[in-house]
Amino acid sequence: MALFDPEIRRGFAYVLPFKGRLAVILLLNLAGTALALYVPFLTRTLVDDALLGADMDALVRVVVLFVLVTAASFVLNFVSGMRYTKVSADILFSMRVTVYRHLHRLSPRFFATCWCATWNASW
Amino acid sequence: MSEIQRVLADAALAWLGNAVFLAGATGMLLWLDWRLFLAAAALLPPAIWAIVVYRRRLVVRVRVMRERSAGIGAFLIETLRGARLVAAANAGEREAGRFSRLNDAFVAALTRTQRLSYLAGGLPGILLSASTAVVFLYGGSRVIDGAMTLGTFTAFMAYQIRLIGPVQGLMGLYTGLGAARVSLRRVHELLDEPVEVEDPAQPVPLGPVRGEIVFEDVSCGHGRGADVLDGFALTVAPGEVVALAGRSGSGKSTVADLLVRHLDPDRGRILLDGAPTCATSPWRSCGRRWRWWRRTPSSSTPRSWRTCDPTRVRRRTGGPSRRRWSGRGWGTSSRRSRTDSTRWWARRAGRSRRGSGSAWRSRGRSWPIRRCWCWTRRRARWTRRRRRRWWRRTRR
Repeated sequence: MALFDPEIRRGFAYVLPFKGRLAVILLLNLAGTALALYVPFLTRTLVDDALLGADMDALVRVVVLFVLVTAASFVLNFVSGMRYTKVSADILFSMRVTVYRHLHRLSPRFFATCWCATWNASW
Repeated sequence: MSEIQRVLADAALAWLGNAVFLAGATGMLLWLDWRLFLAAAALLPPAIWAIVVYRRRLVVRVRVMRERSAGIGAFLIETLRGARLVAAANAGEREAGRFSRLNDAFVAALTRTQRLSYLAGGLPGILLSASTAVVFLYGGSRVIDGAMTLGTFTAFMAYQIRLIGPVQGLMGLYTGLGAARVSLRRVHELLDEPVEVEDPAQPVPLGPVRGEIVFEDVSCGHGRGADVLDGFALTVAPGEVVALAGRSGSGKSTVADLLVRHLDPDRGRILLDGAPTCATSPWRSCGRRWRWWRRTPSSSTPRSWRTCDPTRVRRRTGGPSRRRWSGRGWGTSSRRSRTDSTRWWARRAGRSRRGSGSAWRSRGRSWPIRRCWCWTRRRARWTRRRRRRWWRRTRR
């Protein structure tokens, strides 16, 4: 499993300082996903209670719930997605800074022989 | 880094959402009707297998296609840059033939990728459609028998249709993790690279620097072949101007690297005012007055110092030079990099090339070229300010 690869595990060291912010995002995302999971279930109530049972109140209730749940799920996913983008950029920047600082401490010998001489825009 | 960014920014959160959704949807399907779930899930393993296999193949194909596309770009740059050589060798037709072969290879790769991508989407899709057909058949019969309500059946279908998205998302992340792992390995290789030159923990304090430099029996190599410097000795008196002349590879740059402690000698020592440079931290404490530069300037080289000869190690005594080097070719500088250091040059060039102002404007400039007195005055003001700053720095 790729997640248990030593390289990936070592990479988690950069993620750890952000665990608080990531936990908040995780909760928001879980809430959003749980709401998204509820939407298909509403179709059962719609068909059985509202349509087959010919209950207008149940129909309105289902539609209102549908709209509310969809909107709430969207908002939660949007907020968690935006926050996550920021955190992931910060994580990546911390990794870049670490490498950048280290590169500045290396001697010209390293740069004369390293494959990184061929780097360009990927950094 | 871009691979890591892709996984971090796009896939990781999506993976979590997909995994939770998949688990939740499976739970709901089981809860709604476990018999129907088992019937529907019978065709799921081959569908997932098809997704995994085709995605893996697709990744390889896409890589090949990108490489061939990049090959065309590289060919164009190479032959257009060397257009004179191609013309001189009368090789225009031959190069056109090479171009055509490269293009054919790219089109072949593109066609194969396209075919595979249809199969990668289509085959799992057909299997999942078969699974849906099973649900229609078995679920419908259960509804007709009255063993299942119509609402439950509809909800079951809704969950089943939404199942395939998360499965594909998870497979995509698996592939992305592989690419990120390779990139992380490279990052870790760099971080594992040992630092050769460390500042002393307790540096010997330097008094006011006079600037006497002594190389004592210094030997230094680069780990390949013979030492570049062997028993090198040099004494530079304070204020003395020294030029190092020699063939390429004779060690001029190594001397300069040793002087500013980019390297430490393998043998011998270097003294600054009698104190060994490896025991003091001279370049940190008086880095503003001691510089090392090459012919190719970097962004951290003071612009006013970019006009010097690379074979000389010299100590500045005058103010900043009037002549400056923009540090970039005209054709290669992007608009963003042109912001401050070269904008001045752009203006200057715009003014001197009166006839060709439109060429500059066509590079994406949104402001009009103003060739009036204000630029001259502004430039003079900037120059004055720069000189004042330099003066303050050197006197500090």
